[in-house]
Amino acid sequence: MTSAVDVYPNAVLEAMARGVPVVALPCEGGLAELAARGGLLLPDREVGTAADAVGELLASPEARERLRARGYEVAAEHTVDAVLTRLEELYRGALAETSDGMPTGPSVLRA
Amino acid sequence: MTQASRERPEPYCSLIVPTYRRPAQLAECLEALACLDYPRARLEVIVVDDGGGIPLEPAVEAFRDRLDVRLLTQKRVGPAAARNRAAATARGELLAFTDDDCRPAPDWLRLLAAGYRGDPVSALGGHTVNALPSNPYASASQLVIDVGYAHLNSGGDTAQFFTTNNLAVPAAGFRALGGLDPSFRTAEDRDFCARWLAQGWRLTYVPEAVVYHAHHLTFAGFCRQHFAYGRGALRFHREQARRWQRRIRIDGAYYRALARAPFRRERPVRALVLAALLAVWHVVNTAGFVCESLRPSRGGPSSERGPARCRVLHVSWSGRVGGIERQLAAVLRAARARDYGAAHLCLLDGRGAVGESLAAEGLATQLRLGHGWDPRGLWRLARVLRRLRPQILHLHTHALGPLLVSVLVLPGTPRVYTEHSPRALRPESWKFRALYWLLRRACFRVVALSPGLVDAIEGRGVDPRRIVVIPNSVAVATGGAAARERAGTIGVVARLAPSKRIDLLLDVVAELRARGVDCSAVVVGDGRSALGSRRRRRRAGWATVSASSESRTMSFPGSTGSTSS
Repeated sequence: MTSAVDVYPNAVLEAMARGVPVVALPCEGGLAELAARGGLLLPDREVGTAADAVGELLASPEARERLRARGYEVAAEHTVDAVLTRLEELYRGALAETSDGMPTGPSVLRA
Repeated sequence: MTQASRERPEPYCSLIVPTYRRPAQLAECLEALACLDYPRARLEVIVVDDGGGIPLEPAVEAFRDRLDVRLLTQKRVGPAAARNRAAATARGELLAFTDDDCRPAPDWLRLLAAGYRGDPVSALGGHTVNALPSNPYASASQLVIDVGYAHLNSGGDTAQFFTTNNLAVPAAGFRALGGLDPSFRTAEDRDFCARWLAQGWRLTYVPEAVVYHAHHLTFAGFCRQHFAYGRGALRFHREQARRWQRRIRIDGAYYRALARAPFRRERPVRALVLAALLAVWHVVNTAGFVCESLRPSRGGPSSERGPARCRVLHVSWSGRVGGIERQLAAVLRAARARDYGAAHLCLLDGRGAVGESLAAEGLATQLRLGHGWDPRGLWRLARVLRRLRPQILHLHTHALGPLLVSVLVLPGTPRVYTEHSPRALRPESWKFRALYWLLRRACFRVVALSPGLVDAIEGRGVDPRRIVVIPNSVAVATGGAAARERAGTIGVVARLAPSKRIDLLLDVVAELRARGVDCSAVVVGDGRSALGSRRRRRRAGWATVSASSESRTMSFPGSTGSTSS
């Protein structure tokens, strides 16, 4: 991935889930964190660096296999079920706090 | 004053002051009442504590030797009910009303009582003066009232409207009308005056009877007050329309007079400040009006598709194939089987493949908002929010207009905001500053997609305790592609936008090809930009472009369509 800014790319998650090795250039946003854990995050945004890294990967099935395994691991943390469970926790917390009489409305409009 | 009235004694007056959590102002008010040049034997003062929870007995006690003053307390039910309660126990034949933040002039009550003696079936109102001329919010508030008085109370044989902080009503007439309508939290005075006039009774303006009004307003207080007045105004107009079987009328002449007023009364700089505040007044007042008009009791038409009520309502912008939309589609589909199954998605501009298919499944409502401030689209959004009345609102768009509408229409509903926009990572723009100003006040939690984004969100002033990390999910099954791997294909799947820097990818592939590595590139995505120059594409082995309805697919020699980079 060559993005300059990427918050949390679906394409990368999907590639990891399908066992495609991911190489990313450093950038702003969640892409860099994702690639650092489940793929290969390059040290700079130079074309030469990227060509070296991809060239090595193409030449080495073992290296691709290592990246693939890390990708599977990260993708497994991102199941829809796992995300839904965390969302539900968040919503339950919101409802509990509201029923406790905690303010939820904007302070500007609270009479 | 007629000869007959001069011979009658001063009427016995009951002076009614509702108060709520302002003991210091109440003491100042009582001090002013103690200085009234009205016979003490003909005057009683009734203070009603509207559930303020602050002991007022000491403040009242200090005036016992100078005034016949009583203190009543009640649960908080609003000033209209408080005034009615006092009126029910009042002994006077004339009921005079003022507020705890008001200081009547010494001759105030004498002048109103004189008017009453001249015309015992008339209610009387005096002139209210802003006692805090250095406070622009108080000045603007008073200006709104002053222009109303000039517009409604001059000319004709009767005035039309008095505020309850400077009003005297014959007790018999007050009781015959059943007092103020306590279901009004604001605008109860407008309603009362209209009912009074409907009886064929008169309202007499006594401009010499002056009350100094010292309401220390802040900007937020000003907005809050006039938002509430806007709500009251709609209730008032609706009540009028119901009573007289006519449509709600908006008095254009009043608004024109109001727009001119600052420049007629004030020096230029101050006039501009007041004009700006009046513009704010228009906005918040209208917002209150609109907010009240959307109350669910009215049961507006429900032309938009969707469920009757849902638990979690997601609000997003586009229905096209994109990251946020595909995430939401996966979450909504999976949520059907779970506890919070009643999730629904409101797409502000729902056009596109994802929007269409979710709408067909009954999971989404498409609004076709043209742009962020499209008034008709925002109106439709407000109606959908009112109709669905979700328990939780989850916002996925950084558009300010829809957030503002959600705050106005559902002020008590907990809101969650997920930051999806890469622009949030960029240096401050006014739009994001405004967005986060509102989010800090109106959102229960802000969701960061990754731990790294927490810093960016914190940097915008959000309390770290209110930031939650919940990543995107992946909707495809794990495993599978390794067996079909075709080494040598380097690809990217992305929206073809400049920020994706597809040109860099092409350069990398070109560099590898120049080194003699057997490889090619595949780019799958929607959009036209950022593919670099024709020469660059040729160097990377660019061959054909194929277009489908939703995405343009660029294929290169030897590609299999696998997604890697």
